[in-house]
Amino acid sequence: MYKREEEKLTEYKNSYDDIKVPLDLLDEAILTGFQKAKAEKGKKPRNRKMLFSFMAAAILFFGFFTSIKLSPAFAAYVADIPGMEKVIELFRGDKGRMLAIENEYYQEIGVSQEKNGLKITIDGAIADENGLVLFYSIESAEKQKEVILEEVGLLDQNGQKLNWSSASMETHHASEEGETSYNGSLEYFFDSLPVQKDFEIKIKVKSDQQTEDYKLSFSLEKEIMTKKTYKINKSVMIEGQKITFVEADIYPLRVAVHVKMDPANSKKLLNFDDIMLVDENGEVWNKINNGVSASRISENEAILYLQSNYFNNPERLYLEINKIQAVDKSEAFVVVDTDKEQLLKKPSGNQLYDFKVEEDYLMFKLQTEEEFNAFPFGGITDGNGEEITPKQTEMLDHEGEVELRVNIPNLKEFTSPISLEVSFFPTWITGNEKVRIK
Amino acid sequence: MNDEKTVQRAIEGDDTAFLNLIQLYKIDLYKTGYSFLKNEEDVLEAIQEVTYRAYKNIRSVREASYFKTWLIRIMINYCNDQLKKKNRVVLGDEVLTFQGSTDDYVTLEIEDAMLALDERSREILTLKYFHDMKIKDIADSMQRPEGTVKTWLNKALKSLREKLEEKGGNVNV
Repeated sequence: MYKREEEKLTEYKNSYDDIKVPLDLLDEAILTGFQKAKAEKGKKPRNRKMLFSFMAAAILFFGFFTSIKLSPAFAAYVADIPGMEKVIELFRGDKGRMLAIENEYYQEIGVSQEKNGLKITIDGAIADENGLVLFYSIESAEKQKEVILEEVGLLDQNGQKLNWSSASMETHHASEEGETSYNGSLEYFFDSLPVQKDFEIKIKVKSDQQTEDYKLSFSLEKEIMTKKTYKINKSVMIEGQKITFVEADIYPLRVAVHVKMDPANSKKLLNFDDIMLVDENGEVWNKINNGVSASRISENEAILYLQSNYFNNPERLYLEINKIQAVDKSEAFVVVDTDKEQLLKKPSGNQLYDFKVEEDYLMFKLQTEEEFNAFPFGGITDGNGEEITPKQTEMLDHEGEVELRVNIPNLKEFTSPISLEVSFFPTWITGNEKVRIK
Repeated sequence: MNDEKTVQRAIEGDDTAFLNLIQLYKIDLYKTGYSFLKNEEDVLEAIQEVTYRAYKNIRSVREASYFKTWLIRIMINYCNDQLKKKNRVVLGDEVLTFQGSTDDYVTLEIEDAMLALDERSREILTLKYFHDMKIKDIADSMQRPEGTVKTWLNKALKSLREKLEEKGGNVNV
């Protein structure tokens, strides 16, 4: 009955018989997937602690994982530097940082301190004009099931705390079977990197049996490469919302894209979920998917951060925008009555529900069809307009149903109703727009 | 190689058995991935993710003899998700590059028609014609009666014909 179609299908199949299969890369991919599954078997997910300063920084932690291939020359280079494999492992999801390492922009530090058998090492760093990423490892003679960096403080050479604008740190490591070594990264972004290159870092580490305080000094010796700036000044419309791309600053650690939203837009645009840089060859640089992904300058202005292509020099470079989290402006706050335990206001739809107060915690449930990893709330104010700084916010995933917890010390002393600004939310506007930036 | 025994051992948590199985089907996986995603880099990422998912879900293999179908279906599902996520502009570009690199017109036509099919039809046609799987195997792995799968297959062939005719019509302008 469908003989012709069946023949075509067979032909189609045969056309794949002599397709070129990159066997080495294929095996590498299999191994990576296998190791990832294996690693997860024994480990609880790592937590990344996010910190904010005066600027409301929007921070995302995505669980997904992409791999970037290593060239043979790069692999050889990596093999030469102690501890480098681990750094690569941390950065597999970030093309820009891999390129920074490949271009020998990674700086070895190798400063360590040992206390009662628990040793911490600052292995190395990547720094640019506004960011500093440090890699650390923690080693112990005995296997540890849990290692936590309880306090981390970055100081200048005079012992003064440095004013960073956002930081993102991997502070919690766990393994059911126990490990003798853990490693992670600490990221700081500044309005501008301090001119001096000497730093001190204070870290309190808690392992299964002990808690130790460490203080390490290190210097950055590599020359800091300067950013490249491209003026854009182009606007796009997505579902009736106007967005203007002002300019892009390309730093070795990330690309910062300055965007402005039209104040006349009916929706508040929250997070640019699907935005990427594409060069003339179709090579793609995604958003930062594990760390600071955007900073809000004001109501209608933000900086979006993408993985850096600093070390590539494309002839043409485009920004592609496909999907943005958005809520109606009139629904951009969640308001709760803490006395009656009632949700007074929230974005329409049934994503957010089941509000409760338990001691110093505001608790919500969030249900989404698509995976959603961002904590929805930003600034919090009480009934008198007084700003509230939560001690901690948590997102706990119970098989599809996410529990949100906001810990506010002395919650009862604040006047109800409390309002929470919506910074992320699982409702989207979509389109596909392409803007040339270079 | 005694497949079923290896599958059994993999289900029981034998890593070597698992890796042997992936090795055995890696080319099939690669080709399947390529038929959906059309570029090496994406397919390699797919392979990584499929290996990951397969290892994580190995216990959900209900019958050892259908392991291959089970594995290929993970790949197809993953690819469908990726295609949904992808923006149309990029996809268009990739299809163009692919077209530029081949002069096999027939393949092109069917390739386009396959891309235009709904997910289920594409999955069935991929399993049946790309991997020469039996209706019974497909039905079992989808946990559906054979009759249903046959109906689906017919529907898939019918819409494939329609798509091919659409294309043909355009070409003859």
